[in-house]
Amino acid sequence: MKYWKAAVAFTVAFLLQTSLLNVISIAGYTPNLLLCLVIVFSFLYENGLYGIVFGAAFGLIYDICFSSVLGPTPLALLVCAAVILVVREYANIENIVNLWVVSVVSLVIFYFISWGLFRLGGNPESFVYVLKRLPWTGLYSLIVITGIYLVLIRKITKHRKDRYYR
Amino acid sequence: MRWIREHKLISVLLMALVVLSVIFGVSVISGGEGNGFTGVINKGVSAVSGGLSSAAKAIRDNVTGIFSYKSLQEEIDRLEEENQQLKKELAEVSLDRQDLEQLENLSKALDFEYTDKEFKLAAADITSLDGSNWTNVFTIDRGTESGIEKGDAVVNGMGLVGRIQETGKGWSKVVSLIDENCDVSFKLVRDRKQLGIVSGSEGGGISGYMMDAESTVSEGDIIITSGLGIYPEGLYIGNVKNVTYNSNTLMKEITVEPAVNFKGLEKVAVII
Repeated sequence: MKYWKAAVAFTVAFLLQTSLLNVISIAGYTPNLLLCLVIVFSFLYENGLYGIVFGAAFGLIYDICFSSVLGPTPLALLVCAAVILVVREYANIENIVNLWVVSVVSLVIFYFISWGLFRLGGNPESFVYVLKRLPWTGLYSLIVITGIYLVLIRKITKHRKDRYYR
Repeated sequence: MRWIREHKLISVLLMALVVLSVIFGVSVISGGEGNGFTGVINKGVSAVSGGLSSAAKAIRDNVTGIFSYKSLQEEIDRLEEENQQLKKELAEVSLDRQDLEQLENLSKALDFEYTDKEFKLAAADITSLDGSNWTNVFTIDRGTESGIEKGDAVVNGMGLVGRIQETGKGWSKVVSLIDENCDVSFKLVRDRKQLGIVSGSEGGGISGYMMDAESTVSEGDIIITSGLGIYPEGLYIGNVKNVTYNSNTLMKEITVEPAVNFKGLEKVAVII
């Protein structure tokens, strides 16, 4: 994938996150599109810079626009990208179960790290609050991650179901 | 340099970590204060997201309208009936108004301070929301050019919405009442000597406690801002939904049904 395409994907995700998704939220829950893209891009592409560079940049813009302190969101996204880059070396990226496992771990890491950093920055949200919201937000994000993965995997590995192709 | 070229990924990762950690540290030390650069980004995002939000709302409203034609017709019938009733009441109230004007004139003549305050408002559209499932912050399209300052109270037709967290030219960041960062001092309408503090709670609600453990607060009580702190006195916050006594803190704790429907917010006004 070219960098400009990744940049467009992250820009669209950011704008959707801050406008359309709030309108079509289900029971007040929305998927975290930036995190979804960081997870899929870091998992699928050997060149993990997409997740790191754009995750950090758009995470920072997100914090500038909506957070009381700058840094927790991009730092948490960065840690997620780093963990996935390590895990993908040992995982078969064509197996969707591996993606789900990596996604669940990343979602937990992201929300715990960002909660911890926001807490350090003076935000009073309780840990229980994060735990309560995590299952639904995580489930919603997991559905989106699966959708993005199914679209991108066709472009990365053509004829992946054809065993003679390998 | 050679090591950096050979380990491009790790180098970028480490550099990003260091830079972001510094930004985080500085931000925490400075108390999250923005600067000119953050203002430009806020204004840009606000401009782009504003258009998208309006389009999304228009689509949602139209689609909802198509699928709920029957209930909308019932709503129209009900409103027409209510309109007739209100017209009757208006005629009665206009008579009371004349009495009120006479009383006001009398109070001025006696140099008696009239207690009802008039606020100067700046109306604004919501341009973007955080959508994080976590904090409850949104951006509006008015800022310092309209006289808005940090800490100003934000309201809508229903009641108190929140406060201005940060502002710049053409944009302001609003922390809503249902955010855990938003503490508000209140008093009961029924007995204005009974004070307490509420803040956002889990699940988009409001909860808090009464200052006096002997308070007679009960379900259904209306609470308004007390005037202590940054919020002007008398802004409608909501109705008490539940009262419990916490034997550990020895305080009466309350949960409140907010007056404002935060999910359907589109327009707000800032008290300047």
